[in-house]
Amino acid sequence: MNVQKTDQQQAARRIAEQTYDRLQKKRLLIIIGIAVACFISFCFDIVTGPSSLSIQQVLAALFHSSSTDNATDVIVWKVRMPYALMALLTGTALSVAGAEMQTILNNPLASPFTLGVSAAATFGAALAIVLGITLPGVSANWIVSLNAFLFAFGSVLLLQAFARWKNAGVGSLVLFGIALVFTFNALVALIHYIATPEALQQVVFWSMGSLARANWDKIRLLAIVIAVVVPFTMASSWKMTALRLGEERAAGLGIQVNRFRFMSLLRISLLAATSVAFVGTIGFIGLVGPHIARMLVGEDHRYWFPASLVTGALVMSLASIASKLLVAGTLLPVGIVTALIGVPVFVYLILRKDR
Amino acid sequence: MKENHEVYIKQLTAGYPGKPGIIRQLTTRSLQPGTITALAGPNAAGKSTLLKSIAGLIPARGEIMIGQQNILHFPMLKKAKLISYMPQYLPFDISLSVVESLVASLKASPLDQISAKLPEVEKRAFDLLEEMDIMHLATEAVNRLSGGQRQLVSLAQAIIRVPEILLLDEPTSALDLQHQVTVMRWIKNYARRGKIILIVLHDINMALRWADEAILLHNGRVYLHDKPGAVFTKEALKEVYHVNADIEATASGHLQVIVKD
Ligand SMILES: Nc1ncnc2c1ncn2[C@@H]1O[C@H](COP(=O)(O)OP(=O)(O)OP(=O)(O)O)[C@@H](O)[C@H]1O
Ligand SMILES: [Mg+2]
Repeated sequence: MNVQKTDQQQAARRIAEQTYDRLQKKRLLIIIGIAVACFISFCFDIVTGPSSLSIQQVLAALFHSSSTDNATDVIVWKVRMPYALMALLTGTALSVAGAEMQTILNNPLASPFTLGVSAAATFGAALAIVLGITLPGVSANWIVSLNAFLFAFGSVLLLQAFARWKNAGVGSLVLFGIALVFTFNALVALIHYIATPEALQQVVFWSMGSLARANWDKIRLLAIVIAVVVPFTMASSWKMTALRLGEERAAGLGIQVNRFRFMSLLRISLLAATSVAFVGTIGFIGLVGPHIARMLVGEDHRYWFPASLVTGALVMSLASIASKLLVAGTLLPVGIVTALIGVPVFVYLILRKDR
Repeated sequence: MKENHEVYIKQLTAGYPGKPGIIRQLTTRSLQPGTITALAGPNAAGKSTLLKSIAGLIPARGEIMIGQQNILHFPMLKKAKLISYMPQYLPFDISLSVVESLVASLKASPLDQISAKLPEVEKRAFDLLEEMDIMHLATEAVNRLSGGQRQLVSLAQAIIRVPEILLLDEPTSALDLQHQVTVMRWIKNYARRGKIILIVLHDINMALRWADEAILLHNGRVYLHDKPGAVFTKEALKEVYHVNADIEATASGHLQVIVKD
């Protein structure tokens, strides 16, 4: 408060500014590092698989596809590439959705999976499959995804209403989310019961997350959704950070909190529902990704969002590799692997919360 | 909006869903630019509620006049341009460094006035830390601060926007003696720049020492609004707080509350 700056003060300021700069650079480097790890993991994902192709064969199929025999081509381009890409994209979508959700619901345990959004999307998809809803000129694939989206969005609205209703705390919101999970799972089970064998096969797929139905159309669509939604997520970074300082403070800055929340919920539903619609229920990525990212770069959302994105993609890609290696010669549904990683993290988070 | 206008509140009623009328038909004298007004009163008297309703954070009826204009129903954005409110509590589980929290407090606002370029905003954040003498906290994570440090940071978040009207909800309740003095001195200087300051203080001696005016709130109404010496009288303390106390002048001429058993 002295007008005259002392040497000591100037030195303190210089040190603080340097530390701050270094912190910013460190965060950027961490994000870049994880992105590089994603790429490496992606490459590794492509060269591993039950059909034992050599790395040379894979590379040949990738870069001179005419020079290799047809079977290798098919495996690399129709199976491994789509799986590996889909892993990165769903990891991205679920993790960003989880990060947004944790901030707007002010709850580190929030994620599309733990709060029932994935279950709702699964139910929506199952309903569309079983009822065989059709619209003229719209492919069945799209209708299933659309219905998954509608149910995901509905469940997110329900969560928000609950969170606002008498200011539900961290614990009760998670309990409400678990209630949603059980409810939608029960409804899906009901659908299992009444579905025709063909529909049942499809429905079961949704309930067990797997990359096995990845194809280029789905990859393109999910990539488009991510490319459209994530820039808006990034643009909301400052406001999201301000929201972490408390709703009153954010509102005091002139942010229209309700509208802002609603737009975020829309993004969450789009990201979560599209990925669930294509790969089924893959749990915990939306929880683990943001959590690791928070430990690495903190909660300045300018860094936290991109960090969550790359972390989610990396974890998912590693899970995809693990799903091929855990049981030799078999491809486990990746949802099983993410659950094995995710459950301990979830329990750890709950224990830490209770302290 | 013209600056340096007096503010006064007329017939203000505010509350919460299911709990209307926490503040009832509240009317104040004018709050003058350049002055500190202390807001005191028992727990649950409605002090925080009053500040929140002025800041536009909870619905209210009545008039909050700035000059000739009733700002009560101004859009939030227009209010945010004038008013900054420091909440009584800061959420404490955020892994954000102090500088980042300050930068976000500026950059998050949709107001043109303060959506400055990032380096400029960062400079302002460091300037403020220097001014408040908390440079050593700059890169600490907010969730690792002590209660008092957190309060200082929360205050910094509120004042970095240089508001015309500053509403502070118990900014000194967790501070040690030295920081109480630094903060109050800073607030006094800030007021002298023509700003209006309404500050909730539980410590009546601090109100007597620092405030130009005082409002004693009782059951959602203004019990007294006058010079601090005229508000915190033996009778008022007895009536509002049910405490037997004397008000005595110290050797240096300041008034002080002495509680009797
Ligand atoms: N969010 C809320 N919802 C419902 N009622 C509330 C809410 N906040 C405060 N109240 C009620 O309003 C009344 C006044 O509370 P307020 O927080 O304004 O008191 P205060 O004068 O600031 O008290 P303190 O000195 O303890 O901070 C209390 O009876 C309280 O129960
Ligand atoms: Mg209060």
